[in-house]
Amino acid sequence: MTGWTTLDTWADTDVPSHSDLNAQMRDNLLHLRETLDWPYGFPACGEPAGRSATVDLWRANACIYERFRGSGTITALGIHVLTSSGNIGVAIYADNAEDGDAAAPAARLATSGAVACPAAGFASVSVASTAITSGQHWAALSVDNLTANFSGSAMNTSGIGPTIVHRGVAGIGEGAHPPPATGNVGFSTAPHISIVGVA
Amino acid sequence: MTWTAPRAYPVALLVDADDLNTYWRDNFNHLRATLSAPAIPCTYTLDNWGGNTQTLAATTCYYGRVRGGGTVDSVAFHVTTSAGDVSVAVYDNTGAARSARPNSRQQTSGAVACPAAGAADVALGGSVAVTPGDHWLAISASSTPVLAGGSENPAASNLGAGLAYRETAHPAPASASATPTAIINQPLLIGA
Repeated sequence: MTGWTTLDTWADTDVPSHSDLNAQMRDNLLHLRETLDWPYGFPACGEPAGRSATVDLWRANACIYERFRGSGTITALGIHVLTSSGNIGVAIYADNAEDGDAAAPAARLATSGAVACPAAGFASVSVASTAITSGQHWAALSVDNLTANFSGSAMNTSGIGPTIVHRGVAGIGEGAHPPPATGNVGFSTAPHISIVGVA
Repeated sequence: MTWTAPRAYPVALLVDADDLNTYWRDNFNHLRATLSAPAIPCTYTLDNWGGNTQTLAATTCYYGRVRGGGTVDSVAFHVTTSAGDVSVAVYDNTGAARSARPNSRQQTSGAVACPAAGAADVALGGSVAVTPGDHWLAISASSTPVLAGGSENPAASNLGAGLAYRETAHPAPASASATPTAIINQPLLIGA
């Protein structure tokens, strides 16, 4: 919350009008809302510091979509490669603006296209600079093979599989490498690959 | 950040613009601490824990940035295998976003015998109010106890920058390192 006073503050001599008061309360409450769930000041998917299983993409030439928590302008997506193989692609999508579990990735805003899978270890894969808003953008990672795997959630160590419990949070589309122009979630998935937004 | 306590307006107080700003800031921050998800100060969401365990490295201090808010006077964790001494501590934060890291120790237990296997709750030297994102919980060990937490994959990674770190230290130092190692494999700590 260290930044909220930079959003809207009153100077000592200000006399807030009704509209100013409304706007400033709105902006500060919106910032408060964002920090309630993910208080770290940068966008990320999948609780990267707490869960550390080996996760592949369940199918070759598939794309996993994960909804961002947290906001900020980013120029790359950070992943931790455990086994490097073949090609990957990363992308950022706008949300379809639907509520609840109908939320899904829509238009692709930035992508790396298909690139060689980075060597094992932490890797930042560049995309065009994009402003991320919590809950309104999605990260995506596509892989052309099942040998490559990544650090992710501990819920399924044999690969990401279909489930209905994470609609509106994370999903997979098949036949989607590199990440397509429009998000196409075939089924939702509980296990995540950890992805952070890198400024 | 020392302004998380809620403020009340005294009767007959004439509130000018910057007072209004300060009062709302403090009350909003208190609201944030009490409404945060999860609503308790832990280093990651409890219901995300997948049943893994983590063997702590000897003479190493682990830091996790808190997600929830509240006033804590102890740090809870789950011991699978007890060994040597541990210390727990709360730190304030310095830096922002992925450059955030623990700064100055606010409270600590000092070195105490590692609790027996099972749920453990180690008292701090006093209570401290923690705010989501603005504080860190820490545990250090003299030996290699096994705790509930992340496991399996390499601990050191910039994937955890701004979220979790470790450094060579035991007990928890008065000032955390300015260059700790970012990790993705941390013990589960809960402010209690």
